[in-house]
Amino acid sequence: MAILEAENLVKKYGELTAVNGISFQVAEREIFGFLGPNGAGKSTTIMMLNTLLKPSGGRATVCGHDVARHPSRVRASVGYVSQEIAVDEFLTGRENLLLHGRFYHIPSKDLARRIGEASAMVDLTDRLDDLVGTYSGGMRKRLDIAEGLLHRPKLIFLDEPTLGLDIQTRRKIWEYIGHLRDDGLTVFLTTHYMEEADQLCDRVVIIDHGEIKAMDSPQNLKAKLGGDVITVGLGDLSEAGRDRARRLFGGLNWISRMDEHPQGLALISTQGDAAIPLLMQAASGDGIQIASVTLKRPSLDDVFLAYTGRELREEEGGSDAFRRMSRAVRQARR
Amino acid sequence: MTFFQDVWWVCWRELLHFLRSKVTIFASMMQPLVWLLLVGNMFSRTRALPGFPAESYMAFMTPGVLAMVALFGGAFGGMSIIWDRRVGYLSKLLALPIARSSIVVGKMLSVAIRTAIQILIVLCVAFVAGVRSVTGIAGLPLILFIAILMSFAFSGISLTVGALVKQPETFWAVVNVLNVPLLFMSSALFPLEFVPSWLRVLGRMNPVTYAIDPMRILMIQGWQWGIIASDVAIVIAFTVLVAGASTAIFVRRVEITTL
Repeated sequence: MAILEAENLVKKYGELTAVNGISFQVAEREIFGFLGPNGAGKSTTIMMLNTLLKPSGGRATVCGHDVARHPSRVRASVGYVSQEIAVDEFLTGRENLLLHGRFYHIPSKDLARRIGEASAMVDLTDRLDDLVGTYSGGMRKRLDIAEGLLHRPKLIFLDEPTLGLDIQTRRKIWEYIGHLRDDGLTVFLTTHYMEEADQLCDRVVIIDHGEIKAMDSPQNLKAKLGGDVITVGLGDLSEAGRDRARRLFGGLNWISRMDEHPQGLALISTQGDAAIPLLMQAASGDGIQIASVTLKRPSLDDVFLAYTGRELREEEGGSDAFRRMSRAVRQARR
Repeated sequence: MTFFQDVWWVCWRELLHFLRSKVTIFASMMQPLVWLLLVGNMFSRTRALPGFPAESYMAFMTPGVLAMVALFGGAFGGMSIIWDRRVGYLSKLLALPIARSSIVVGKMLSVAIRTAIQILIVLCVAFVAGVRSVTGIAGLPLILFIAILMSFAFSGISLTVGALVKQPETFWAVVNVLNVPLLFMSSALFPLEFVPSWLRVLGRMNPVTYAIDPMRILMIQGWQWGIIASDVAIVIAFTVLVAGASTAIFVRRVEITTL
């Protein structure tokens, strides 16, 4: 049964369309991921589903409640952990949790026990009575997640749960998210880390420029690519050079798919390990200079490239000045 | 019922912030004291003006400083929304299953409690400096009531400005355009009888004047019920209107954008 349904959701900021008519369903007890670069529309979507933003068009129901008509029912039934680490540093960890519990009207007799459980789950029991101002970034994020779980929602939204955290903390948080599913929760998360989506999610949506480009399990998405990924770096990256290479590789019957890549071309091969020698032979016969060749089993990165024509990793630094700026602002706030 | 609980917990958080920042406590106490002791002494000769309504300038000015505490304390209130937005806490507050009005009212209440404490401190210092109120302790609850009403009105305006403008620089520019003239174009520092007539007209239109005058009557003249009642009625009407409108605007217009 679907715990979340979105139908043709649209969000516009004046001229700019941040989310352009997306539809999807999330099943109960699923870990559902939105994967895309900064500015793709992930946070905007999550905020519409949380009733923090009013959709400009379309509709969505969350836990059986319409987000536009019954926003407070939606808010009471879900947990939301925003991208910013929104914990109060002038309060202790316990006070942060207590405040959250009060706002969700958790009965006083249960509250102390639930605070104990939630903080134990994220390993914060020892530091609970210290001011959050003394916590590290990872501890703050864990406290934030504990708050999101305190009122026992059926569905929790995690917006970029590991953004800006070191790799150990990231692994730890993945572990917690795994436990959540075991406990029967549905998790909706956004990320621009491939690994995160690959490891955690039952199903992944690839979103770019506010539109859904693909939606399936990570395994199926990778299988759909139909073989290994060969990235060919070209010696001549001019349009003429690329064109020659495209014509040559396009004529090889064991190449099932060809995409543009910043260093040259990305090919999908069905030849296994024999692909590289075959490729080099063909290239030298045609006088095309090859700068580098890598072969790997398909990853979500490659899926992303295949569906959007871009590499997600490049987007992390931000090729777009505006995205770079908004990211800098976000980090400065921390 | 849950509304008042939510209001209280919003307020509780703000009060903890206040109590845990020693610098904020110190600075918010110092400002009115500097006014009272420094400016109060600087203008002490104005008492010699024929028809000056009090026995000392400081006795005259104390109610003005009380209004200033309420006005400036209220004006500062909106900064907490700017701050919450900066650290991402505003989106958490807005995602809670509580009425958005309880966020505004809770923050207003915290400002009012702070204002009440500051006012008691200013009155103690004034007492030590020799200022005596003719209604004494009995007049105190009414003085506090008037100051708290002012505080609700101005913190309401400030919180709404904070919700709408987003940038601290813009916030201070807007707030100072409002509160500086409101203070100086009132009877806070100088009897309106002594100022040019155009300024007197503006002063008579200023709601702050109607908060200061009854406090001053209570401290200098005594229980003159007629004038006190009509002034307080104006202050109540002003507060209900302004705090109510501010809350309504806040609830409708506060938003988070992903840009």
